[in-house]
Amino acid sequence: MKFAEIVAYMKNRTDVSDWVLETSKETALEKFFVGKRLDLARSKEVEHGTLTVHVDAVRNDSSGGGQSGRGTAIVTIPASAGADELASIADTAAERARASIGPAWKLPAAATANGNGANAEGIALNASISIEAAMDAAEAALFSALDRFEGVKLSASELFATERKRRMATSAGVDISWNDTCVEAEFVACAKNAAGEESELFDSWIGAALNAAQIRRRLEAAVAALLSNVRDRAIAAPLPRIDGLPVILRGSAVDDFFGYLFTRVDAGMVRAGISDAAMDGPLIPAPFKGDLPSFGFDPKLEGSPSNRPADGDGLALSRTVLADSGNARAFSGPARHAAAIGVKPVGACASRWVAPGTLAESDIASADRLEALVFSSFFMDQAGGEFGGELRLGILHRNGERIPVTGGSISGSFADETESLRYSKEIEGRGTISAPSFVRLMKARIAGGE
Amino acid sequence: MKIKSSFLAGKKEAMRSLQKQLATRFDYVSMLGTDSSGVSFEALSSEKRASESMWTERGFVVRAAKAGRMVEHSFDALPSASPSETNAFADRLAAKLERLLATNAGAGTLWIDTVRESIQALRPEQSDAASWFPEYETDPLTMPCAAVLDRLEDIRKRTAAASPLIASARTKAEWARFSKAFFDGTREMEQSYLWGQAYIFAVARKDGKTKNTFEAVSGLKGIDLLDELADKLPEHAAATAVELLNAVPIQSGEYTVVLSPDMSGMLAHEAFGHGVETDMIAKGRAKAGEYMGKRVGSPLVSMYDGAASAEQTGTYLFDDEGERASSTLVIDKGILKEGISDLFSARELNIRATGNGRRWSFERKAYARMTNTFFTAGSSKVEDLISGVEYGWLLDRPNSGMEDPKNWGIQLIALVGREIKNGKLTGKIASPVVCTGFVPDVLNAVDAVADTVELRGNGACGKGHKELAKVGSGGPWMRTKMRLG
Repeated sequence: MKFAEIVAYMKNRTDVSDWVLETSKETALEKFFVGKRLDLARSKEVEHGTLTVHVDAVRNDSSGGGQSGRGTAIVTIPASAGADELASIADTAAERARASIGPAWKLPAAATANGNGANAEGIALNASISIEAAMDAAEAALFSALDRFEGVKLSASELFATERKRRMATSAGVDISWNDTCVEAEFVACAKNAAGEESELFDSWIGAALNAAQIRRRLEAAVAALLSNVRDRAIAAPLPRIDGLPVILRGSAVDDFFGYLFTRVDAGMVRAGISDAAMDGPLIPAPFKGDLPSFGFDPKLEGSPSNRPADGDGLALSRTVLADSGNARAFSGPARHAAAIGVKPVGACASRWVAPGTLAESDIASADRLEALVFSSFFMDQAGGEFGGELRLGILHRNGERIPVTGGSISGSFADETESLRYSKEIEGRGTISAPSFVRLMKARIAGGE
Repeated sequence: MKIKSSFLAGKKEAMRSLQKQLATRFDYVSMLGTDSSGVSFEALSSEKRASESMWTERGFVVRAAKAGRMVEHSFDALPSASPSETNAFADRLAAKLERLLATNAGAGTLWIDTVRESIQALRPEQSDAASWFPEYETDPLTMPCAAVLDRLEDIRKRTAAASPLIASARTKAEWARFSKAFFDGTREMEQSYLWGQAYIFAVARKDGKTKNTFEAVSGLKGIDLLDELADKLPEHAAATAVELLNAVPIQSGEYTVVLSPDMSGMLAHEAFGHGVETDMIAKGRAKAGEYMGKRVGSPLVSMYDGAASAEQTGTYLFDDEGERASSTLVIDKGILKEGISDLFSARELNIRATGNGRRWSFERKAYARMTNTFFTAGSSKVEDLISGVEYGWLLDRPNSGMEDPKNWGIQLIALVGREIKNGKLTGKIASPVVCTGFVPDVLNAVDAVADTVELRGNGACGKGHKELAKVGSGGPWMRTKMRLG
């Protein structure tokens, strides 16, 4: 069904108080390599549609019986849906919304979002780069990085170039569209040690709204970093037993680590009682002597595939401070959660930033430390703040020596680090987040061998 | 009642017609049509909601081969079966496939020219036409939302009321229905089935310390799943969350561990499930390729994977490449026997197609994926496993795991660790517990296996950083040694 037909239909639904329609037309080219050999080429032409339906009625949640409120449900509209199926889907959504009437709230007015989108200002637009050009740049990046490393190979790689044409309309009059081309890559590298034993590491990279030169430069750097790491893993020694050494977290573990703080200021988590953060209150319990985190979201974060002009309610998004020097300044998330906990809605956006810390790379360069470069899968408990993971590659710096290590695990908790948490002045962009390049942990437990 | 997709029923003729049209222009053409949907119900202290399942999808993928090369195109709009519309659509689709083949022109030959015969040779003796439409008492997707949410709210309230230290309780139930049709000119397969899963999440807080845990049930079941959830699990979830407030960090080191069925299931999944996905072997990414027929575990260790091995959320009749589900004995009494394959890697390695070629959705490539993966039962009693431990830890409530098939490392995270001293639980508790080890060492150290297998199908399995697939996993209580931290 066409966008305009769905909008026209929803305007005539009298049992629905408000609605949001969002569609994404996606055209993609995908390549799968085994070594340097192209194993499979795929393409894709699909359209995703979601319809959010809001119904105003008497509340039926545990705390608001008798008052008027609003219920919300989101459903998918298949590209192949006809008029009858659309009616059935909208019926289903309305029934689900009626079953979940909570506190009352309203959709943001059109004026806040229209003009913030691609129609007017141009957000995250690089529709001029075709998926073929994006794929060429990605392919060149993959294999030119490989050419710089001897004795290392890419076992398998996957490249995805997707053009996304998105549009959103709401019953409050929002009507915006925005496009980008997104490139994703997953790559697996392998290296041998002197005994001929192979070791493997894998990584992924994502970027959107980038030109060909940017795709090539950034993906090549990501692949080169992996190739360098796998060379170290091939010669890595088992992680020894170590006590009392600072641990330097790097890479995606840094993002997961800060993810705990983002959960603390998530309006839905606050509403559900999973986070006990209070507006303008400290996010980190005293005594706190480390870097006080400032962070937020930015819907125009360079290269982020999560950029968008408005959130799922049609609320215009702008760079927002969620926490300033360790204190909560706003709670992000859908407007219904903000209304329920009585705070001003700032919207929801998955493009995030964390402000620099006070420690420079040069400050730690000569210190004894364990640099945790790659985890099997870094676990960060978003409710309690405990963390841990098996170490796939670490670099032990001790007495001026640099020793690649592997195996064993690192674990700890955010609460234990509050007296000494420091992180880097240097900032890195990693897909949907711009954050310090490292975090220094002083209390983490290192489970190495005897 | 049987649950069928009226959408796929209406498109069957068009799919068949399109396959025939394209088959005149390529050496091999298959078509997979999917129409899957689901509903997720959630009760929180703050709100109740009913929303779409993340497994909702509807569309088609066509696979075509010519001169030994294979390409695919995914799309979601298929015209009706009228000859003129089908002809025009087939022309456009053929042009796209030809362009992809041209892209692929520089590639080494993966498929021999006689692709159709090649695929047939991989298939065990079985019928080329089959369907599976199991009977259900009710269709959970059409149940009144309010009734299900009220039921979940009752269970949530029981959890929250179990202790004043419960800061947040949440319940969730999801049912997803999968309808698929496959045609390749030789084979015609159809299936439509559903699974359900339900959870209780409990968060306890005291003096600024927050701990959480969960209870979960799953299966090829309808609304009766909520009876299982309600049966004592709310109080158990709350008690465990409160207990975890007293958890201490574990002293790092190697310990004797007693794994719960959920933990042994995660061990099976991460230790050897991923490692015997034969696309990993074909890419040189799995050490298991060098160990076929060799010992990888103690004689007490046997392990299966298969959509036909058990009834859980990884069960189906045929996979996303049109191959019939099977049951694969992966490890037999400690000896590595066979891997689980998609068609590409089965062809590459010249092995049996086991029916494990699965897609995240019609929009994605098929890979060799797990289905229901589990260790088989032994002969010990759970009490004997614990009483035989001088000092160690009982590990339960798996949170996450990660495989390393090339280097046979493993990571399991347990939310609950209970200290065992002189054969008895001391009451001391640790959380979370990071469990690591070298896979053959962990499996060779298995010295006792309990006599009952439990499988669960909550959660989803990824391949690398993506490609989710619904799987079941489990096993008996098992005793082995792992490094904990």
